[in-house]
Amino acid sequence: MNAPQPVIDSNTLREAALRASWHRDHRVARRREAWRWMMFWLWKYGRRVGMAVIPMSAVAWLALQVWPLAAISKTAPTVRVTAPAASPSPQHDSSAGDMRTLPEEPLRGIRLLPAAALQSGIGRPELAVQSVNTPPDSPKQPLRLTPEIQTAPKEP
Amino acid sequence: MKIRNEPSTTRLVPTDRLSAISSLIAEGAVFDGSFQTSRDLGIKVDGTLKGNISFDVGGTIHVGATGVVENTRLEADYIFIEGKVVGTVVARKALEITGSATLLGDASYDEVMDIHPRARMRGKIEYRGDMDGPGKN
Repeated sequence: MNAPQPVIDSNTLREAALRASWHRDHRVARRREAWRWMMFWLWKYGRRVGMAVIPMSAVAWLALQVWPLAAISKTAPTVRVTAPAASPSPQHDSSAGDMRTLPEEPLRGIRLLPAAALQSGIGRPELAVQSVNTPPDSPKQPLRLTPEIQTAPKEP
Repeated sequence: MKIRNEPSTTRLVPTDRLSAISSLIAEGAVFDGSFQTSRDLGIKVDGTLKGNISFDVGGTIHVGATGVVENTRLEADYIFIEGKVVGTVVARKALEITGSATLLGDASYDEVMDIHPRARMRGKIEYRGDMDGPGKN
C-alpha cells in the first residue's frame, strides 16, 4: 500500500512561492536597473566622448597612412647606374676573372673577354706573353704590357 | 544561485508586510478582473492583472519586477512597485517606486513617498496630507 503523502502546509507553500518570486524579482530588477543606468550614462557622456574620439581617430588613421610613405621616401638609397668596365687594368690580378673588379673607366682598345676564358689556363700572364709574336732571338726586353697587347689568345 | 529568503530592499515599506502577503498572481498568469477586500491582507502581482486592486483597510500591494497591472486603480496602505503599472495609484501610508518600475498614471500618497532615480514615471504625483501639518519645514 502506498504511504500517505504528507500534507504540505499552506503557509510553507506560500513562503516557498514568495521566496521564489523574490529571487526572480531581485534578478530581473537588478538587470533592468543596470540597463537603465547604462543607457543614461551613454546618452549623457557617450555622445561627447564619441564626438571627440571620432575626429581624433580619423586624424590618427590618416597619419598612419601618410607617415610610413614619408619615412620610406626619406631613407631610400640613391641608385647610380654606371657603365661596366671594358677590360681589367694591367695591375689587376688576372687570376681573378671577376668582372666586378674591373676599373670603372674602360681602357682603350681593350676587348672584354668572358671570365671563363680568362680563367682557363690563361691566368698566367707570363705564358700569354710568350705567345706574342716576337722573334726568339731578340734580346729580352723588359715586359711592358700595353693595352694593345692582349694576354689572352684572340677570339676567332 | 542562492535563493533569496527576503524581498527586495525597501526604504519605506516594512519588510514584514511584504513577507505576510497571502495572495500571489504568478508569472505568466493573466487575471482579468478586480481584487477587493476589507481585510488587512497583501497581494503580489508577478503576472498580468487587468483590473483594480483595493483594500478598504490596510493592505499591501507588491507589483513584482515581472508584474504588469493595466487599466487599474491601486489603493492600499503600502504600495511597492517594481514592475509596470498603467493607471492610478493611491497609497494611504507609503508609496515606493523602485528603479526597475514604470508608472504611467497619477500617484498620490498621504505620508511618505520614495522614487528611485532610474524609475520611469509619466503622470502627476500628489501629496494628499496636510501641507501645513507637523512635518512642515
